[in-house]
Amino acid sequence: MNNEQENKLEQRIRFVAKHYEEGRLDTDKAWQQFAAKHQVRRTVSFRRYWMAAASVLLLLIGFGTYYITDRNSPEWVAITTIPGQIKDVYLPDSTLISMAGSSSIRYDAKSYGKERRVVEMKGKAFFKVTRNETRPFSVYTERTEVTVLGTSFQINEQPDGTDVNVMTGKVSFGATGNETDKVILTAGMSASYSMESKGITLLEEEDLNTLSWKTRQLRFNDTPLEKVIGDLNEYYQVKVINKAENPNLKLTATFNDLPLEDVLLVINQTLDTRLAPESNK
Amino acid sequence: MAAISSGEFERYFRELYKPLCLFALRFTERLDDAEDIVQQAFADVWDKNINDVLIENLKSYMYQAVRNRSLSLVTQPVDVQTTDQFPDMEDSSEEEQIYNAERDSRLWTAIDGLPPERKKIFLLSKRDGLKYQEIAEELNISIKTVENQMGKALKSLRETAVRIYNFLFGLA
Repeated sequence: MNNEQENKLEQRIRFVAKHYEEGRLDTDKAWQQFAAKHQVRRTVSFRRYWMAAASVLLLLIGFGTYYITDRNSPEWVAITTIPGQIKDVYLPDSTLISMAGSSSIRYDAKSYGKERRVVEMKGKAFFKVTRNETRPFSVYTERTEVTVLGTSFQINEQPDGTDVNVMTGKVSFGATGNETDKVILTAGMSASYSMESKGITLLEEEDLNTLSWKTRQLRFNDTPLEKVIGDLNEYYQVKVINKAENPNLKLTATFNDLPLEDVLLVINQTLDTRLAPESNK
Repeated sequence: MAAISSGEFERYFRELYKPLCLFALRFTERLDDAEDIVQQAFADVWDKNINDVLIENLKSYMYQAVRNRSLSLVTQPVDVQTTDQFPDMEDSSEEEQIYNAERDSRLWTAIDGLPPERKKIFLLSKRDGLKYQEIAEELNISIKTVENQMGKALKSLRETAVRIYNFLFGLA
């Protein structure tokens, strides 16, 4: 090696050393991250086999490959709601998806129901899945997957995590690509996946109002005031503040889609609070 | 149906990931940006692949894509996108740039593989710019040991790189 090359190599070593960080540029990690995010499934051998079989078929009977490949390319059906919109969607197997505002779902109309039933979603939605033991129903959010046979449940995907509430039946909930860390949820149970800890926690308290956006009913049963305010904020998409200081108050009441003013009036008179929507000024 | 299988795609990803990151790093000078760019470039190709778009020369395509993404990240207003500001990229052919990135990637792996103590000494010297005397004081070891360890570290890195040089230029 001559001097010029020696110099250049010294430069390169300096460059690489300057940026070197222990444990970074880990190809395995990078691939796992990529595969989870883009839902790359390992179907190599099957696909290869299938392709070989398809080519033989093509040679033998001069069958148009176009037809075969076209038949297997996905045909996405996508549905998106605008803020505040609620939309019911029935899938081909009469599974119901009730979508809350600012949410979206999509599924491949061609493969849906053939071997599995797969739906991808963002935002918040309630699922009432038609029972079919031979074709599991799966919902993928960005990081998590929920798999069921037939049941009803809700998924709420937020930037910091994903919540699942089960109304009837049994569901399996886990991070996508992580087969070990799965939880089985039964009726009345809820669990939450946190983006930060990358883990799943079971939620103890049953939440009466997780489906309020759909039932148009807010229910409180000995509910702490902080939780009441939280539910009102979520339901009416406002920020309610309490101008008086009353600690440890609890509310028992049911509101059937009343205007916010009426609800606040009732609560203020019942608990002697001074709840009001925060003005923008 | 995808143009290539997910298994083949994974092989490309694993083969190209680290060299591409080091290639991007020469423009971005930031590890986080480099990794983001490479992940995004692969995501783009994966989407194309799912939609049955066949990319003829994936390796060459990926270097182009990473280069373009890197340049648009570092040159804020998109005026004239040249490599003038990256002196050591001038006059080198695309092939040479790929070889360089692959060599950098091997150097990175070679650093990864150094025994812990030797790695520490090496990084204090080459990354943090400490003199041998300062390293000796910092780690409470003799300057002789520092020289010794540095000699061994550089030797193994050179051997890693020389293999590439021989391959590239046919030199002994």
